[in-house]
Amino acid sequence: MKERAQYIHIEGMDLAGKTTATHNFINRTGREWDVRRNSIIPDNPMYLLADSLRRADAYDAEVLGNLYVAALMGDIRTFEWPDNDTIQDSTILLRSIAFHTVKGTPRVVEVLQELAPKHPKFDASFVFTADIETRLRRLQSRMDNQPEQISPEDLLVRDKPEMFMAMEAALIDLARNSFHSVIIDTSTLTPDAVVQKMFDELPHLDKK
Amino acid sequence: MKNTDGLTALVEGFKDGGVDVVTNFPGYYSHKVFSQLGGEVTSVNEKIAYEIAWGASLTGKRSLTTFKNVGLSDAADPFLNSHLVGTNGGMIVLVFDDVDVEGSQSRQDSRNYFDFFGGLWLEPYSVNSAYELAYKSFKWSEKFSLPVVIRVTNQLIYAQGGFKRLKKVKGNKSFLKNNEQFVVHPINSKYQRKVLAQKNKGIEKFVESLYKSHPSDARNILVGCNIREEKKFGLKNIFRVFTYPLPSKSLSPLLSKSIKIFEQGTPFVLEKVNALKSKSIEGFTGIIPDNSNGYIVSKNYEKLFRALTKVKNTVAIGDLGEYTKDTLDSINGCLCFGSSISVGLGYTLASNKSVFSIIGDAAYLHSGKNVIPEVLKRGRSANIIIISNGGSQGTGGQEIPGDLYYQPKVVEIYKKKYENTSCTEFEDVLKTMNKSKKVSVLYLEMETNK
Repeated sequence: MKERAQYIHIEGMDLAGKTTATHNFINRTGREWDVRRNSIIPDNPMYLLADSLRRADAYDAEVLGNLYVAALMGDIRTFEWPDNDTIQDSTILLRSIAFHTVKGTPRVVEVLQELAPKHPKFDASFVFTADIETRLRRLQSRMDNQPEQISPEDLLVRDKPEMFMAMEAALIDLARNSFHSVIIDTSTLTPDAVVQKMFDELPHLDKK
Repeated sequence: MKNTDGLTALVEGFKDGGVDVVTNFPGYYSHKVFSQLGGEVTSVNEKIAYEIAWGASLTGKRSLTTFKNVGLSDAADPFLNSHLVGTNGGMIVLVFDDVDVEGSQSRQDSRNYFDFFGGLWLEPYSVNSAYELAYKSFKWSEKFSLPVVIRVTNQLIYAQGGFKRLKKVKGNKSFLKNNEQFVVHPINSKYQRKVLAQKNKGIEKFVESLYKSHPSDARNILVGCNIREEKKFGLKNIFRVFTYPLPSKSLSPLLSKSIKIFEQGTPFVLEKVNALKSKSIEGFTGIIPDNSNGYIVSKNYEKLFRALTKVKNTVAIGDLGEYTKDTLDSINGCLCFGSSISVGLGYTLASNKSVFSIIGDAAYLHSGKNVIPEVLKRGRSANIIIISNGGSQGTGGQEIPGDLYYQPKVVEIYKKKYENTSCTEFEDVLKTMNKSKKVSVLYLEMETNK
C-alpha cells in the first residue's frame, strides 16, 4: 500500500530565503517533490486569472482581493490531498491576508479570516524571515546577478520598509494561528543550517 | 472553624484555595489580610501591586492583590485591561469598600467598575460565605480566565461566625503562550473583545447556577453583608445576592411583587433591578471601526527583537508603544502603559524563568521606574531594556520630565547606541544580562530627529 504523501508548507515575505531553502531541502531529501505555488490546487484557473490581472495592474486592490478570495474558495472546496510528496510554496490565504491587512481593505480581510479555519492543514509549516539588512543585501545581489527576476514586491522592502514589516507581522501571526508554523530566521544561518532546522521539525521524514 | 471574623475567614479561604503570590498597597484592612497571608514587601502603589499579581498569574500560579476602594482607582488601568487580556492562573482582586468611611477620605463604591467590562465579582454576606467564596474564587477565575473581584464592606470585617473548612487545594496551570490573548494592542483588540463577550455570557449562566436553593417568594433582596440592617429591621424572606452580574433569571419572579433591596454603598443593584423591570429598549452604542489594518511595526527595533529570540528560555514582557509589536511577535505579555517591569517582577516571583521587560522612556518615567526599588527589596533579578528615544514617540515625541538615567548603585547598567550596535552585539549583551541574575538595565539609545 502506498504511503500517504508528505505535504509541507513554506511561506515568507520576499527575500526571506524561501526559494533557496526549498531547493536545498529537496536536494537534501534526495527524492522528488512537487511544488505548488500560492494555490493549493494545481492550475486553479481563478488563481491564474487573478494573478495575471494583478501583474497587469488591471484593477484596484479590493477587486483583485475579491478575485483571490474566489480563487481561495475554489481551492478549499475542491482540494484533495496530493498523491506525491509536495511543497506548498506560499498560500493565497496568508499572502492575501497580509497584504489586505496592511493595505486597508478590511472587507477582504474579513472574508479571508472566515475562510482560514476551513483551509487544509499541512504536515508541517515553516515561515521564513530575515532582517531588513540581510534582505537589502539579497536584493542588491539579485539586482546585480538576476535583474530580470526582480518583481515589484521585491522592492517593497527597500521602498516601504515599515509597510513590508507590517505585512510580515500579519503574515507570521496568521501562520502561527492557522498552521502552527515554525518561524525560521535565515539572516545569520547557512543554507545547510536552514535545511537542518527544517529537518529538526520533521523527525519522521525520510532523508538521504 | 468556630467563632472567627470575616477577615480571618477570607484569609483561610485564600490559603486553602491555593494562593501562591500576594501583593498589596495598604489601606482599610487590606494590609491585615496581606500580612496574615505572609506578605512581607508592600508594593509602591496599587497599580504596581496589581501588575505584579497579573504577572504571577501569567505563569499559571494563583495570585491575590488587595487594597481599598480608592486603590482600585489607582489600579484602574491594569484592572480594566486585565479583563481584555484575561488571566491564566487564578487571580483575585480583594477590594475593601470602606462605605462607612471609617478610614477613608470619601465614600466610594467600587462596583461602578463592574460596568466597564463585566467579569465576575463576589460579595460575601457572612463569615462562612467569606471563606467559601475566597476558597472557590481561584477556581472560578481559572474557569473564565478573568480576574475575580471580591468586594468586602465594613460589616463583614466585624462579622462573627464559623465556617466549614474545605480540603486544601493548589492550582495546576502552567505558562500558556498566547500572545494574541495576553498582549494588549489594537491588532488584538477585536479578538479580545470577542473573547470577553463570550466569557461574560458564560458567567451570566454560571451565576444563575449558584442561586438554585434561594427562595422564590422572598420580599427582601440583601446584597452582600447587611447584618446591621437585618437585625434592625428584623428582616425575613430574604434572597441573598452575592454575585455581579446579578442572577437576573432567579430574581425575575420576585420583581412583580413589592420588594426591598438592601445594599452597602450606592444604589447600584437597585438601578440594575429597576432596569430589569422596565421594558426592553434597544440600545445603540456606536459602530466599532474595523482596525484590522492596525499593524504598525516600526523598523527601529528589529535588531533588538531578533537578538532577543536568540536568548533561550526567556519570556518577553512588553509595554505600550511603537515597540509592542514586531514582526516575530516577540512580546508574550503586555498589560498596560508602564507595566512591563512590574509584570516581569510578578512573573519572576512565581516562576524560575528569566524575563526581559521592554519599556519606552515615557512609560518608564510614568510608572516603570517605581518598580526597581521593589525588585531590589524583594531580592529578585530583572532584565530591563529602556528604549531611550527622547520621549513619547507614539504621540509626537513629547518630552517627559524625569531622570531617566538615575539607578541605585547595585543595578548593573549597560548602554548601547542602536545605530552602532549589530544584532550579534545585542545578543551578547542580552545574554550577559541574563546570566548575571541581578537587576540589569540596558539603555537603548535611539537617534531622534530633535
